[in-house]
Amino acid sequence: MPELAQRTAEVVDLGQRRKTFEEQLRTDLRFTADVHTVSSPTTSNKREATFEDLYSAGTISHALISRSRELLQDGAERIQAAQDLLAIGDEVGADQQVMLLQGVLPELFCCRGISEGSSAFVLALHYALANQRGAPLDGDQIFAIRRGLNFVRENLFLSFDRSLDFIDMLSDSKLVVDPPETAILTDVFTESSTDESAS
Amino acid sequence: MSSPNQAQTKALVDTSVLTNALLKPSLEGRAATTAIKSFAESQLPQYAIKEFKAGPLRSYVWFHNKVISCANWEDAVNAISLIWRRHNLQSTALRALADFQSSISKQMPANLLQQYPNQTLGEIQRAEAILWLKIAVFRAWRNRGKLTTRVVSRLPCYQDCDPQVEPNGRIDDRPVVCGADDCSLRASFRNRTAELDALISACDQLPKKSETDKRRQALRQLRRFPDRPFEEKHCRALGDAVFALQCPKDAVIITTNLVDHGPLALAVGVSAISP
Repeated sequence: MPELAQRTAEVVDLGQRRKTFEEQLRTDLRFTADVHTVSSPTTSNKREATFEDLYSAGTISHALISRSRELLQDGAERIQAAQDLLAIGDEVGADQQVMLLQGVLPELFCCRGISEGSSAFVLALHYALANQRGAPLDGDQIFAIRRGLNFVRENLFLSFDRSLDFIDMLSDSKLVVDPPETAILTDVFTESSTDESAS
Repeated sequence: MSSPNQAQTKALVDTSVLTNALLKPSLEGRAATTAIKSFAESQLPQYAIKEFKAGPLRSYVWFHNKVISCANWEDAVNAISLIWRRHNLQSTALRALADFQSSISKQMPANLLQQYPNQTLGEIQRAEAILWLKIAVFRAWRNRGKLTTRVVSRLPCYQDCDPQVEPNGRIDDRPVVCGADDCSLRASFRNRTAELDALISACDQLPKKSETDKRRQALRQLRRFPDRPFEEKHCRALGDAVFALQCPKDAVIITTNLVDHGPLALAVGVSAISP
C-alpha cells in the first residue's frame, strides 16, 4: 500500500509539473513573440509567432529548457534505479524502470531545438531500446545508457560531435542504435557503389 | 580460399567488410567487426576508405540531403527507387522504410503534439530521419580508422577530407575522387609485372560484367604502358585487384565478395576469406 500511495503521489506530481510547464510555455511564447516582432520590422505585430519563428530568431524557450531538464532528470533517475535494481537481482524492477525511461524519450525529442547533440543521443537511445524487441538490458547496456544520459543532463547544449562518443558507447555495449527498417539502405547503396561510384 | 586460415594472424580489410562494419547495424555488421577483431593485426588500405567514401557513404549523404530537400520522408524514400530503378529493389522493404514503424513519432501521444504546437507527426518524422542519417554518416566516417589496427598503403594523391555540414544543413562530402592527373598507384604497381600478368589472366575467371572488363583494361594499361599517366577512371576500375596487390604475403583479405576477390587473390599468392 505505501508503494501505491507513493506511485499515486508521483502521478499527481507529474500532472502538476505538466500543468506548470504548459503555463510557462504559454507565457514564454507570448514573451518571445513580442521580442521577435519588435526586432523584425517586416513582421506584423498581430501575427501569431510559431515555433519556427522562435527558432529562426535564435531564441530557445526557457520553458523548453526547463522541461527538457526535468525529463532528463527523470530519465537519469530511472536508469540509476534500473542499475540498482539489477544489482540486487530484481530484473523485473530494472526492466520496468527502463520502460518508464523509454516513455520520456518522445517528449525529449520534441525539445530537439535545444541542441542537436542531446537530440541525437535521445534518438539513438530510442532506437536502441526499440531494437531490444522486449529483451531486458544487461548491466553493461544500462551502464552505457546511464553514462550518456547523465552527460546529456549535465551538458544540455551538447555538440553533435560529442554526442557521437556516447552513441558509440551504446553501440559498444551491443545496443543497435539504427532504425531496423533502414537495413535495406546499405544493401541498395552498396550494390550501386560497384558500378557507378563517383561517376 | 574461402575458409578461415587459422595460421594467419594478419588481415587486410576490403571495402565490403568495411562498409558492413560501419553501416550495417545487423548481424552482417557484427560479423564483419568480429572477423576484423579476430586477427592480431588488421590493416585497412586507404584505397578501401576512398571506395567507401565514393560509394556507400556518398549514397547516404545523398539520401540525407534528399530528405532535407523533400517535403516529407515518403517522397525521399520514393526517390531511392527512382535513382536505383535498374536494381531489383524489394518493394516490401522500401514500403517498410517509408512506413518507418520504429520512428519516435509513432510513440507520441496526441496530447504531446498539443503541448508542442506547430510540430506535426510528419515534420517530426522528417527531422528524425535527417538527424539519424547525419549520425550514420558522421559515425561511419569518424570510425573508419578505429576498426583495424592501422590504416596502410596511403595514397599520396587522395585527400582524406571530412564531410562538411553546410549552413543550410546539407552535407558536402567532396572530394570523393583524387583529381590527380596521374594516380599514385601507378608508381606502386608498375614494376610488379609478373603479378599484373597473373591478375590479367585471373580476370578470365571473374563474372562477365562491365566491372571485370574495366578492371582487365586498367591492368593491361598498367602492364603495357607503365609510363603513361594512370587516370582516376583507371584507379577506380582496378577495384578488387588493388587489394590483391596490396595484401602482404602473410595476410588474408577479408571480404564479402569472394567471387571477385578469390581468383584475384589466388593469382598473386594470397587468400581471401569471408567474415
